[in-house]
Order: sequence, then C-alpha cells, then structure tokens
Amino acid sequence: MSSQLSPATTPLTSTSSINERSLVEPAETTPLVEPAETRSEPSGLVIGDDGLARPRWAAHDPLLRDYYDTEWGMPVRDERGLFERLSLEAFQSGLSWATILRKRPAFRTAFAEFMPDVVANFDDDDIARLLEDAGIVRNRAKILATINNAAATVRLREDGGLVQFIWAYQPDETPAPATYAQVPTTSPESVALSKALKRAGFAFVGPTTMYALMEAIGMVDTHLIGSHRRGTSGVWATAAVSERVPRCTE
Amino acid sequence: MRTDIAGDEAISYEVIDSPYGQLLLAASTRGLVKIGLDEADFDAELAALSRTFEVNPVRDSRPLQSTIGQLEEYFAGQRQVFDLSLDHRLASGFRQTVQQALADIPYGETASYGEVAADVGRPRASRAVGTACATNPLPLVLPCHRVVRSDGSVGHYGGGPAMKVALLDLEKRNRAA
Repeated sequence: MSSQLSPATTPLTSTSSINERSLVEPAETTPLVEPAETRSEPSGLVIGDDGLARPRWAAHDPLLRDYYDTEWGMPVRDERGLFERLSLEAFQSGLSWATILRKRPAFRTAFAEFMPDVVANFDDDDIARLLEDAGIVRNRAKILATINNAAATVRLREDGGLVQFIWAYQPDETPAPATYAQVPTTSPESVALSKALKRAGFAFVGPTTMYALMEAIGMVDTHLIGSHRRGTSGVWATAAVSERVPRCTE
Repeated sequence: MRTDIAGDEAISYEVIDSPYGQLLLAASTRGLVKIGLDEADFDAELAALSRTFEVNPVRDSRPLQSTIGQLEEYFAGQRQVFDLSLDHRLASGFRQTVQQALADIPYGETASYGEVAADVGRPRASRAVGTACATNPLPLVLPCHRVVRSDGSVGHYGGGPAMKVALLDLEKRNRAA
C-alpha cells in the first residue's frame, strides 16, 4: 500500500464498526463522546484512552498516533521538508506508512537530510551505498527517482521554487469528511499538480499520490469531522469550513 | 457524497500489461470500481481504495476475468462496447453524471467538452466536464479519451496525451470493421 504520509497508508483491517454504523446518521452529531473510554464511532473515529478522537489508522500504534497528533496535516512550507515528503512518498509504495516512519531517521541520514543540492549531486558511489543500506528501502528505481527529483527541485528555483510551485495548487475549499468514504482520493488540483510536476521533470508523482501529499502537508484538511486534529493546521478557517457540508466541486 | 458504502465490502485487484503500459484494475463486490493508468500511482490508488472501502485490497484476478478479456479485445480492435458491471461510488454528483454520459459517445468518434456539457443539460459547464474527465475513476470503459478540445487538440489524459492519441487512432481504424 502506499499514498505515503496519509492515513490510507495503513490498510484498515477492522470492518466491525462499519457494519454497525447507520449510514445516514450525520456525523456532526457525533463528535467527542465520553472520554476515558476506548470506543469506535460510526464515522471511523476511535476515542483513545486520553479522550481524544482519532482515525483508526492512528488510534493504536504509538508511532502513528504521535505522527497524527503532531505532523500529519500540518503545513510544510520549506523546500527541504517538501522534498523529503515527496521522496518518502515514492519510497512508500508497497509498504505501510508505519514502516517508512520507522525507517525515516535512516532515510534522513542516507539522503543527507534531504537537502536537494546534495542529493542532486549523488553519484554512482552514492547509489551503490544506498543500495547497500538496510536501513532504507533499497529500490533502485526509487533511489534514482529521488536523485532525479532533487535535481528537478533545484531547477525549479529559477521558477519560484518547489514550495510556491506545490502550494499554488491549494484548492479554494477543503473537504469536510464525516467518514473515510467521503475522503476523496484525487481532486482536480491533484491531477493538475501531478501533470505540472511531471512536466517539470519529476517522477513518482501521480494524482492519487499527490492527493495524499496535499493531505499530509495541510493543503486540504481531511481530518474526519470530530477528530481532535480537525482544523488545527491554521490553513483553513476552521469555524466556517468544518460546518460546511462536503460537496462535489464543479 | 458516497454515503452508501456499507460493510461486507471486498476489493480485488490485478495489474495487467496493455499496449500502453501497465494498468491497475480493481473491482468491488458490485463491479469494476477503478482503472489506474499511471504505474507510479498504483500503490497510492490501492491505499486510497483501502481507505475508502475500509478493507484491504486483495490481489485476485478471478473477479476481473471479464474485464481483462474485454480490455484485451478492445486493445485488439475487436470490441467497441464494454459490457461490465460498474461501481460508480468513487465519483459523485455532477462528475458521476458526466462520467456515465461518456459511454454515449460512440466508438471512433469524439466530442468536445462543451458538447458533453450540453448533453448533460449544463451547456456552460464545460470546465466542470473537464474536471469530471480528469477525475474519471474508470477510464477506457467510460471513454473520457473521446472528449477533446473544441479546437481539435486532444487535451490532457491520465495515461498521457500519446495514449489518448493512440486510442483515438485505434478506434478510428477499427470503426468501420
């Protein structure tokens, strides 16, 4: 599975709660419930023993929980940080996001903290070193794509840079999903971003992958309604947006 | 909104070779739900299916046999119309309306974005038609490749403009047959 940095990266194995849920029940009526009790909500949220509502993918594994509480969906507006996320995105293909999170320190070491100027100049010796590094995901195509994307990132500086380039595709409004089924998997903006990045020479940047990136870096807020993290990115006017009924963008 | 996704779901998928590169095919219990044209995006697409339907997609080509067979015939120029159960739940609202209307564009012909907009009763919504095509979860079967710009240029395609040109060419050659 992939779609890095996104909840989708953790395949959901439990279907018990979905069988019980009333499909027409508006989720706005079921926000935070009694604390100090682990229970699953119809929306797919789980109330942790700290009383906070999180999606199921972030409810149990401490690493994922901490990531959800502090990183996922928070704005990333620096070049190095964005390049790191784009790169880990590509590496995640076929693996769980938890695996990538566990390997992230080794990735950062192996890829010079994801400094684009350094990675863009990796040579054959570096490639050989990376292919020997058991701490990361040793996939030649992805390693080469990362080096290629570093060079593309450096080139983009003449054109305003990666940060401006990606954030230009922020949509006018964010979804406000009550359930996973309401979280989009692509959007017109992710399709356009994918196309533009490919034109700029990037690899491993398909529209679904780019939607996951947009979720991870706060360009859209796909925290389920009722999650304690919804509206925390500061990117979206929370009061107005979280009340809005999600709709199809035309 | 997709509020009708109930339990007891299962997603089967297979990756097949086509003349235009690899394709991801995924089916739910209701029918074909996703065709992916961008190899580098397959894993993300599977992860997204996993999230939407709250099940783990399983690699199993058996539920996809008729899809695979009909696609092979289509690529060989031996099939002009698909006869498959489709699951439209990855789209909603106007986009889904447009995507379903795409099947009315005959094999070997094209329509402009504005013409499709008129066909679905929203003559000024050609941009929204473009959006519906760009986010079409079932390309090939719902033939967004037959929608072109009003100036005759092919426009964007999820599998790349070259694939769109090749598909239109394939259909033109086999239309009379």
